[in-house]
Amino acid sequence: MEINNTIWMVLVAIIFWSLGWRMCERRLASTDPSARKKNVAVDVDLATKVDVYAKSLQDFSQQVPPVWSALIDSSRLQMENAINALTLRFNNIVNNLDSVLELTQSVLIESDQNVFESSRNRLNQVAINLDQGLNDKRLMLETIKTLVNFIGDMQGMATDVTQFAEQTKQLAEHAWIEAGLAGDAGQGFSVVAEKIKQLASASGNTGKQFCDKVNEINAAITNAFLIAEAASKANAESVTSANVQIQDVLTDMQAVLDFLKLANQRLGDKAQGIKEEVFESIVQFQFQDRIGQTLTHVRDSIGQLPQHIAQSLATGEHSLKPLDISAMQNQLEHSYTMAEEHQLHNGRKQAVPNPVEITFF
Amino acid sequence: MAKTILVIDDSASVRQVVSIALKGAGYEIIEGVDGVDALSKMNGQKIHLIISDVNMPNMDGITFVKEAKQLPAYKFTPIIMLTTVSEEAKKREGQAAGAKAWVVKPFQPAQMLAAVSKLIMP
Repeated sequence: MEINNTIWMVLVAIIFWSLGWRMCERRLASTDPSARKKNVAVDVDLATKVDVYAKSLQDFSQQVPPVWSALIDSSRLQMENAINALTLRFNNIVNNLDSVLELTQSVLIESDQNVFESSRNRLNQVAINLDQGLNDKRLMLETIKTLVNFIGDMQGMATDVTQFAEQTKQLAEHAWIEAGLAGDAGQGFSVVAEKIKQLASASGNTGKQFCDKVNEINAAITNAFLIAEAASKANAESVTSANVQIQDVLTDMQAVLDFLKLANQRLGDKAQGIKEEVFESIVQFQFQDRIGQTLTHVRDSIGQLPQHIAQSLATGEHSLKPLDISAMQNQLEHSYTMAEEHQLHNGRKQAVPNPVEITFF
Repeated sequence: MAKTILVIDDSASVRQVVSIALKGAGYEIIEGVDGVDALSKMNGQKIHLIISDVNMPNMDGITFVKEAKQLPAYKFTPIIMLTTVSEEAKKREGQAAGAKAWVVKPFQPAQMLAAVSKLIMP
């Protein structure tokens, strides 16, 4: 706008300077009759020069301002296209950041936490199953321990059987002696006593074998019990270790998850911050609309310059009219839509931006 | 269901700013580049609020408001004028045409949202 005013002022100065020079020459020529003839020639020469000048001014007005307008328009369009493209790209960035925020807000908080809880429950169930298995083995050991006690009883019974057989054998021997002393009357009884002695011997042997077998079984069961007890102890240690490791894994997983949550939260905060910054940048792009309008007003005003110059030259060199600066400025001012244009037009060096203005009707 | 807002401005960057601000608040946006384009896009569909620039090619904002108010479907649709123009005479022209509010650019999204929520029925 200031450039536009300067151009007008230069043009007006040139026109006034040429008019003043012409009038001065005419006044000098009119005072000397002898020079009148010469003045006529000077007038013709001056008129020719003014015509040439007027023609050049007309050519200028028809050729230069359109170039200025085209340059302003081109710049305005380039700026508008660039800002529009930038706005679209920034908008895409905002949309992408929205997607990132959506992801960060949903994935870890919901699904990953659920997976973690599910894993924790399943691992806890494994630990419970291991504990249950350990308890079952403890019950089995208790049962084996009871068997060992039964074996002791059986050993006692086997010893009793052997002793009863030995006593029976002794009684049979004694009966056999008494039967022999009884003579013929005791002969039959002597046979019976002999058989009883044999049976007692057989019972004693069987009792001894039974006692041996019971001892073997006792040894086998005791051995099995010791092995089972050792295995049970090892199992108990394994289960305890497994429980500790499961808890350690869960603790580690929780730590990783907590870290991921924290990182996710920070990522979300950063993304939100970037989004707000980008959006604020987009908001600032509104300057393009205002500058575009100002440039359009300047362009239109320059576009009217040829018309104003043509009006000035319309009546020929003998009645040249000064440019109507006031009309040109009024026309320009009338085109303003923004308060800062009026401020600048009225001489303020820098426009004061308006506070946000909202009027409800 | 999201409320629909028609945003009319020949400046793509202004349309973008308004759209982002309003979409972020849950509104659905239809864009028009001038009055003629906007009228062709309205097409009887439900529009809860209109935001229009004033100075636009083909059909300016004031003419658009007058045209829109002639359509039965949009007779009571609130219209906000969003413009660089701050002249009182122009504001009165907008008011007479049927606009409900006049916002001078550059605007702040928060204030635009406040204005929108004041005029749009929840």
